[in-house]
Amino acid sequence: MKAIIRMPQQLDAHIREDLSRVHRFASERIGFIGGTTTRISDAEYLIVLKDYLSVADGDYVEDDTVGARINGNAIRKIMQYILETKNGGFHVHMHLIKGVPKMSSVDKREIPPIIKTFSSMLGTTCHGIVLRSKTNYSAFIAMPGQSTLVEPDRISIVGFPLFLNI
Amino acid sequence: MADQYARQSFLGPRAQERIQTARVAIIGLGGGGSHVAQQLAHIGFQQYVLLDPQGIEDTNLNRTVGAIWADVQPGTLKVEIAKRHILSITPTSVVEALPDEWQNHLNELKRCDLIFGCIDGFMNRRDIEGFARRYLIPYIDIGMDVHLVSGEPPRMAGQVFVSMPAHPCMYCVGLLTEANLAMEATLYGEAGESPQVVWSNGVLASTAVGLTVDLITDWSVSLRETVFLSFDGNKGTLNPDVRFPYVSKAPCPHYPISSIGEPRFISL
Repeated sequence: MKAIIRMPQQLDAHIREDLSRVHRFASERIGFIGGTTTRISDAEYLIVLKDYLSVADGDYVEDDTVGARINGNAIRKIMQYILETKNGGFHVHMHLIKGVPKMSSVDKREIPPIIKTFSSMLGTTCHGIVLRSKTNYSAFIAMPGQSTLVEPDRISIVGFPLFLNI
Repeated sequence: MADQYARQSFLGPRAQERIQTARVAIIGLGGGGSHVAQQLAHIGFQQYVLLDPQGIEDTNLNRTVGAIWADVQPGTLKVEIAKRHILSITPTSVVEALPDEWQNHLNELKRCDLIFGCIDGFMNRRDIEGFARRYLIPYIDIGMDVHLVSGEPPRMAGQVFVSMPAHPCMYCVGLLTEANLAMEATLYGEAGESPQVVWSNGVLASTAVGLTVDLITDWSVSLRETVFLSFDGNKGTLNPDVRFPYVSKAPCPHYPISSIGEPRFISL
């Protein structure tokens, strides 16, 4: 299975701005993106990211062992969004590096179970993880009804200029 | 063998990779689209979706790049001529040649990173732009026409428009109006049977391709907003459209970002 992800540049800028805000105790921020899924062939999906749900300051939990931890309220809000809109849910956070961001060991341990929950709740659409660095993006997608995460073939940030991952 | 693209290395250290991996659609492979296809091939684009239902006719030879006299008798499909031409320049290209209306191949278009519209008609433009906006695909439109004005020489005009989701659309800039959509059937191409010439198509196609390369590579670090250029074929000039400075730079109200993506029914 293959996937293409597109996101408007304005949404990307909004996400970057939100995730760059300093939190009282968390050393990084987390957000969620909502997106639609279109099946474009037997083996390919197009994901259009369109909404952003910021995690409220009060929904972070103090935990020195990770960059940021969020509580059940934050998860319930994104699950309610998924339920109401039938859009997919995509966990997003930033790695302050240059180049293609990779999932840390904490990311690999903590985030996939959240995505699995989204897939269990709404198995007809793609869900996943979007990582943003200073210069690039990566993503890990659970195809409809699947829990295994795969990397998309294309990530486009659509605007002036047009970002196409290579 | 020297690097085929050495003379365009100024585009940036990874520009050629971006160009080679970009999937482009060209809708309409006549006078404008055939020029676009040729130039993209020279630049090194390698993935194409070509859409045009028509075969070549003798009246197309005055402007269709790559078409030869021997294509006329069998009526070789325009997409096949473009494919042949692209592969003769860049044999490693993957070219999907679809001799059909674009509306019958929406999934192939959804897969594309960019769409070139080289077609006649305002309604067709409107429909392609609406589709491209929904699926977040930049749309580059070129077009020309010749109008007869009583007692004056024919007037040749055209445009290049780069349509980017959330930015001003063809309605916003006045390229599309309810009036011109309504009048299309009676007035478009009044100087004869769709008058078209190779030199004006070349100017418009070259400009569109140049803007596309800049869009993908950001080599000029200056392309940051909608481009709407007007061609005056009588003077041989291409300038920002006179209407554009007065267009609101606020997000496009006709295709709001909230309506992008696959539409669906939701229970209230």
